[in-house]
Amino acid sequence: MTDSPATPNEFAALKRNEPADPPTNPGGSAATANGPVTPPPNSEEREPGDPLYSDDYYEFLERAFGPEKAAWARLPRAQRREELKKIHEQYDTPDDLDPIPPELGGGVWNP
Amino acid sequence: MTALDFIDWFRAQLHRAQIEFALTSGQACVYYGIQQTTKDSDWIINPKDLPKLVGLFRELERQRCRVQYRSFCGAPLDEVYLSTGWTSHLSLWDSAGMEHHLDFFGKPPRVTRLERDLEQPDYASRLTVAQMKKTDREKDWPIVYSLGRQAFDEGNFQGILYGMEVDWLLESWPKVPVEIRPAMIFERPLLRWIDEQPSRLRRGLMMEKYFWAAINRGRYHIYARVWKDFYHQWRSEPGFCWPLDRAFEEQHELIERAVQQYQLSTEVLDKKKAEIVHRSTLETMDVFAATSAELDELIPPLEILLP
Repeated sequence: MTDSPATPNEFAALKRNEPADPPTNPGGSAATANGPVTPPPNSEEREPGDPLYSDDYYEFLERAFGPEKAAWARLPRAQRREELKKIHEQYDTPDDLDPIPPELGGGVWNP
Repeated sequence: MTALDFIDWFRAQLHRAQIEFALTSGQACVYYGIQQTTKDSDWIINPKDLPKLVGLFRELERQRCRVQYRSFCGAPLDEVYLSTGWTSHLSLWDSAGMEHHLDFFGKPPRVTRLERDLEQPDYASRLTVAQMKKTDREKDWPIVYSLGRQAFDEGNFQGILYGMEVDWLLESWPKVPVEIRPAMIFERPLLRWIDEQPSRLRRGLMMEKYFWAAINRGRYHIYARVWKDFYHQWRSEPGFCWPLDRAFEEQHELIERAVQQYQLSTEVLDKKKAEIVHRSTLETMDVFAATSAELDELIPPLEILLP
């Protein structure tokens, strides 16, 4: 959620329950800590409105969000979506709403 | 239905119901390749189309979905409320029983003009999303900058309004056509310092970010206080129950009746904007040991801060 109003208690509870970013690099994901497994595609393969930005931009993403997310960000949109599906299926709970993380028995594949 | 599939499915439902919308915030950042996941989806809806949205939820219930207002501080899906800055918060369980959180805006915070992505108009533009992300959450600011950089790299000079690194600002500002620079400086007075006082830029960026965060906190607290007062009155009713585990129509009628009866204000910010700016200014001066003259050079006009 962005910044919608909540009562202080509700807000505090939300803060407490806010899940951390999901683990990156699940099996089959595009990236490892050493860099992307899937090589960045040529810009010709990309959809309009989804260009490959400057290296400087991805270096910023790496500093801000880490190398794995920066590698994911380099992928064309369709590949990003496929990678994200794997992340959600293997490591994430159903849209993060499950109070029990999948590693502890919750999530999509551990209903 | 996975979170990603749900977004596509719900977009199709909104189109079918002829509801004007734009997907924003976290899910838009997923689309733009900046965020990998988000807990919920945020939708800007034309307030005039809210009766259609209520009708859509009634219809979806007949298709084995379940829809429920969340207890979260939210107003009903009503034009009067969402067009004055309130938001509505719902859970939707799809036909497979998967829960999805949906948040609805009619007048998104800080957004003076709703723009859409040129390639996929179902999504708010990068700059609209960036404007909404100027919150008091630290993690939102790299996203603001990323969105601004993407826009700038694609030739939209307004991306400079969201630059958060000194080196990038120094490198990018000369590329902005001279004739549009005054309009940029009007929206973001800090940009004047690039030419006039570059050595102060780093400090300026920190103060500016802190100030926006303070503005967001001030805005939020006022809505939260008004909601709390309303909620305290409402919950003292005999038999009070909210959220209500009933048909969506019944929930909607109940909260509509409550906001009328206990007069949930639709003029929450109207007389408070100057006060929020004043408090935010004092707080920023205090934290950075800044003078009011220094802040005056940095603070955007009221219509940009709290439109």
